[in-house]
Amino acid sequence: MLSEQVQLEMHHQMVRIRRFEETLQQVYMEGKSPAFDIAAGPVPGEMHLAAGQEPVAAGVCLHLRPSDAVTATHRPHHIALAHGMDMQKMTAEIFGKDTGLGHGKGGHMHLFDPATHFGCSGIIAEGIPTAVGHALAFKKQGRDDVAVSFFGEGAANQGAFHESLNLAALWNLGVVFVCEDNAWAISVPKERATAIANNSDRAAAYGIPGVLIPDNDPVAVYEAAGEAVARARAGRGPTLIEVKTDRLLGHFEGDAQVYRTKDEMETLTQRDALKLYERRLIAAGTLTEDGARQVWVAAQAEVDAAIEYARQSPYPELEAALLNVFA
Amino acid sequence: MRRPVLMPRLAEEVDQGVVVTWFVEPGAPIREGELLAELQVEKVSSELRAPCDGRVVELLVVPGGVVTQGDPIAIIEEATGGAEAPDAGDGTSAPAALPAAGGGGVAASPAARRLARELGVDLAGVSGSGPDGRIVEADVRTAAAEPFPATPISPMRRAIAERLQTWLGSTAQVTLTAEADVTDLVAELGRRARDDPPQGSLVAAAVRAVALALRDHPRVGARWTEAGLREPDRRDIGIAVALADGLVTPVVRDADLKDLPTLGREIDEAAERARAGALAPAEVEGGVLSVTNLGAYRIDGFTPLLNPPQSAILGLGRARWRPAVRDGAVVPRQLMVLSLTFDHRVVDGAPAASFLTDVVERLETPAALVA
Amino acid sequence: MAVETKRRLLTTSKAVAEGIAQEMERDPAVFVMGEDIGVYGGIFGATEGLLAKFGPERIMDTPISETGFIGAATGAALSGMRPIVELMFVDFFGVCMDQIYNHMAKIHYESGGNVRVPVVVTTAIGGGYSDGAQHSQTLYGTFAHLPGMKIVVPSTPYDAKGLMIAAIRDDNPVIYMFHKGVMGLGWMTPNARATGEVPEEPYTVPIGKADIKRPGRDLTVVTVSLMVHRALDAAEELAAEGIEAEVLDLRSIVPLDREAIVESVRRTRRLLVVDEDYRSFGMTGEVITTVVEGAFDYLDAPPARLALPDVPIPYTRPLEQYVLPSRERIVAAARELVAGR
Repeated sequence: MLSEQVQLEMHHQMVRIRRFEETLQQVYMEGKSPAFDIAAGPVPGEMHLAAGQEPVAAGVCLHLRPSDAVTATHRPHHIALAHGMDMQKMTAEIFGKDTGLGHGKGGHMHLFDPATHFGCSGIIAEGIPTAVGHALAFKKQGRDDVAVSFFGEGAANQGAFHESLNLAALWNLGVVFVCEDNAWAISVPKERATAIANNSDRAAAYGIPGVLIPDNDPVAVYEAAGEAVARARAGRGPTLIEVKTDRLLGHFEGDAQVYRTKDEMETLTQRDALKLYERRLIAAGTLTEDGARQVWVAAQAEVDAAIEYARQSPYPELEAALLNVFA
Repeated sequence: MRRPVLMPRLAEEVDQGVVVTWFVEPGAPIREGELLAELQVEKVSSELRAPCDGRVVELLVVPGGVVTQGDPIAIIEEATGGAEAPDAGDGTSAPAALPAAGGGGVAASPAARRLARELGVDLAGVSGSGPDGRIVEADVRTAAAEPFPATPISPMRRAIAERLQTWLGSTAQVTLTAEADVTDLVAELGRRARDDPPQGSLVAAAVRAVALALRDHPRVGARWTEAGLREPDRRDIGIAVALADGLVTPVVRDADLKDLPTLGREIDEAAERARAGALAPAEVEGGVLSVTNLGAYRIDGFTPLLNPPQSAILGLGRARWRPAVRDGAVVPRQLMVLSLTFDHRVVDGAPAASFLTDVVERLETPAALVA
Repeated sequence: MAVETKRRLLTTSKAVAEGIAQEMERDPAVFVMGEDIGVYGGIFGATEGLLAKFGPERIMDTPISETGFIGAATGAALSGMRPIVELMFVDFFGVCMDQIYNHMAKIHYESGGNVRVPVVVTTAIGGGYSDGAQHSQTLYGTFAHLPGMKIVVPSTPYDAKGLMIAAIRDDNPVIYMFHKGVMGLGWMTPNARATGEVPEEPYTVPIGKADIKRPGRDLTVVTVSLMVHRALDAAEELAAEGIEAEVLDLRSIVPLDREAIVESVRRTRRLLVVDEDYRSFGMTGEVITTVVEGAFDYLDAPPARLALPDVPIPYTRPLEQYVLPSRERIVAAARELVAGR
C-alpha cells in the first residue's frame, strides 16, 4: 500500500507534467500558423510531448535521488520534471535562451543537468549504453546510486539496447531499464516492428528480471520500480521494466497522426491514466475535488511562470556558438 | 483560352491557406495533371495539378503568400486543338563565354612577387628559370644582385635579338673574307665627285658590284624554303643603316639596273628616311642580300650576321692605305676587306668564294662598274 | 673516467602501456575497457602487463559490443571516471560511431559546457602488411572533420607516452590513434624507428603542438605517424644530393598546429604533405589550405601532396605497396618540388 504522501506526490508530479506538456503544445504553435513552419516561433525545431506517459515518470522517479543517473530520449520532459529538474532552466533551454541548462546549445532533446545527473539524446536507444556507464562508475566508486535508462519500445529493436542489457547483466550493474511502450514508433505500431508481444520477455535472454506493467497504472509502476531500484542499490544487478503507456499527442507536434484512428484517440481519452488516478484518489478520500483543482491551478501557475521566465530571458551572444567545443 | 486556377478548399474549418512553392514559371508549358504547386492549409499540405494542357501565363501569388480558398492564384492558357508540342525554348544556350584570362603580366611565384616588392625589382625585367618561364625567388634575388642598373629592353632591340637569334639557329652561317684593291675605284669616284650631280660612293659601288655579281651567281641570293631553294628574279639589295639604338635595312630595288649616281642617291635618301623613322614596312622587305658598312670605323674584316630571311650579307671594312706587292715591288695601295657571310645550307664554300671573288674583281675594275 | 649513461629504450607499444600504467597509479578514476586488452595485453600491445598490475576491475575485457562499452565509457566519464576504451581497429568505427561522434563528442557542447566527458579512445590504425581494405585504414580525415574530439597520432615512443598521459589528463574526448607499424611489435615488419628513448618518469607532450623531427631549408614535409618514418628516411637520402628537407610531425590532428605549419613553410617556401589516409577531402587538403591561407606570399612552388588514392586498400602486396606513399615517392616528389615543378 502506498502512503498518502507518495500518492499525493505522484498525483502532483503527473499534473504538473500534464500542464507543462499541454501548455507547451500551445506555445510551440505560436508563430507557426497558418502554414506550419517548423523553424518559426519562440520554440523552433522538433517538439516531442509526453502527455499520457506521466505514470512512468512519476512511478519511477519518486524512488530516485538527485545523484542517481537518468538517461532519457527525445521525449524527455516528463522524466526530467519528475526527477527534479528545475522547470525554469529546462523551459529556457527549450526556448533556446542563454539562461537554459545548455545556454541554448542543446535544446529540447539534449537536456543535461549536473544537479540531477540527467542527460538525454535524440538518437534512438543510444542513451542506454550511457546509463550502463553511469552504473559502471557507481560500482567502481562504491556508491549505491543507480542508473535508470528510459527508452521506447522502438528502441528495444536497436543494437544498443541488446548490447547494454548484456553488459549490465554480465557486469552485474545497478541499472534499471525502463521501456515506455506507447505502441507507436512515430507511425509504425509495435506489432509491426517487434517479433514478440512484450519486451519484458527479452530480459530472459540476458538473465535479468523482466516486469510488465500492462495498464499505465502509476501505482503498479511505483511498486515495480521500487523493487528494481532496491535491487540495483543492493548490488543485485539490473532489471527491465516495460510499461504499456499512452501517447496522447502525436509523435511530434505538427504530426497529423493520420495513421491513428479516431476510435483509438477516443479510447485513449477514455482511459487517460491521470484522470483515472485522480478519480481513484478522490474516491478513496485521499484527495478532495477542491484539493485536486488546486493542484491543477498551482501546476498551471508554475508552468506559466516557467514559460514567462523563458520568454523574458535573453538569447546567448552569437560568438558563444564557438565556445564549449572543448573544456 | 485563358482561365484562372483557383485555390482549392482544403479544410472545413479554415478559410485561408498558403501557396508554399510553385513548380512552374510564367511561360512554361504544362500538361494535364502536371504538378503546379504545393499548397498548405493548417497542417495539411496538398499538391495542385494542372487541369489541362497549355501554358502558364501568370502566377498571382508569391511563395509563402496567404490566400483565401476560392481565390485565383494563377492564370493559364488552355491549349487549343491538338496538344502543342512544347518548344524547346531558345535552343541550347551558348555556354557563357569565359572571361578573358585576366591578370596579364608575368608569371611569378608568390615568393618571387613578395621579394620583388621588398627589393623594388621590376618583374618585367627578370627572366624566369621556373617551369614555363615562371619567375621564382632565386631569379629575383639574382636580378637584385646585379650591380649595374638594368635598362629596360626596347621592343626594337627585343625584336632584333629574337630575329637574329632565331635565324642564327636555323642557318649554317660561314664568313669568307677577301681584300679588294680599291685604289683606282676611289680615285675614279674622287674625280666624279666634283661633277654635278654627285657620282656615288664606295658603298654604292659595292652595292652595284654585288648586284651585278648576283646575276652570275644567283645561288648566293637563294632562299631555303620547304618547297626548295628559290633563286631571286631581281637584285634588290638591303643597305644596313645604324640608328640610335638599333639597325634597320631599307632595300634598294633592282640595284643591278641602276647606274652609280642613281644608286648613291637612293641609298642616301633611304638612310635619311631610316634615321628619321620614316620608312614604310614595304621598304625593308624583300631584299635578296644586304650590305653592311663599318668602313667609317677602324674595322677591317668582321662576321656580319645574316639578315633574316636572307642567305648572304656582305660586310665592308675601311678602305685603307697599306703596303701591297705589285710586280715584285712594295707599293702603297688602298685596300678594303670584304666579309661575306653566307648560309652554307643554301650555297657551299666554293660557289660563295667564287661570288666574292667576282665582287672583288668588279671593285678592282672601276671602269666597268661606274659606267 | 666518463660515466656512460645508458639510454633507456622502449618500443612504442611499451611506451603507451607505461603511460597508461603511470596514470592509473596516480589516479584511481582511470580504468581501461576493450576487447582483448586484458589477458592478451591488447592486440597491438598497448595494454601489455596492465592486467597483472591492476587486476580485472580496472583492466576490463569486454564482449564484442562497441556501441555498448564505448557508450558506457561516456556514461562512466559523466559520472566521474576517466575511462580509456579501445576500439580495436579504427576501421570498426562503423558499428559504434554514433556513440563517439554524436554523444561522446557533443555532450559537453550540448550542455553548454556544464558536463565533461574525459574519455580516451585508443585505436589501431594503418596498413602495409596485407590486412586488406577493412583492417588497414587510418581515417584521420573522417574523425578530424567532426567537431568535439581531439585526435593525437604519435610517431615515436617518446611522443607516444607523453601524448597518452596528456590524453588521460585532458578533460575532453581524445581519440588516440597508434599505427600498427610504429608499435615495434615483434610479429610485424621490423622498424628501427619504432624503438626510442623514453624517460622513466611521467611527462606530457602537449596536445595540439607539432614537432620538427628534422630541420631543413629547402622544403617542408608535413606528415604523421608511420609516414614520419618514411619522410625521415627520404630526408636522409635527399640530404646526400644537397636537398635539406624539414620533416614536421604534426603529432595532433585536432587541434591542428597551423602555426607550426605556416612558420615552417614561410622559411622553406615549399610544401609536401604526406598522408596515409585517402587523398580527397582529407588531411592533405587541410594542410595545403592552411599554407595557402597563412604563407601564400612565401610559396615558391605549388604545394604538393602524396596520399593513398581514393580506392579501398588492396590486399595483395604489390598493389598495397603501390598505393601507399613510400620513401622513394617522397624523395621523387621532393626533387620535383625543389625543381619548381
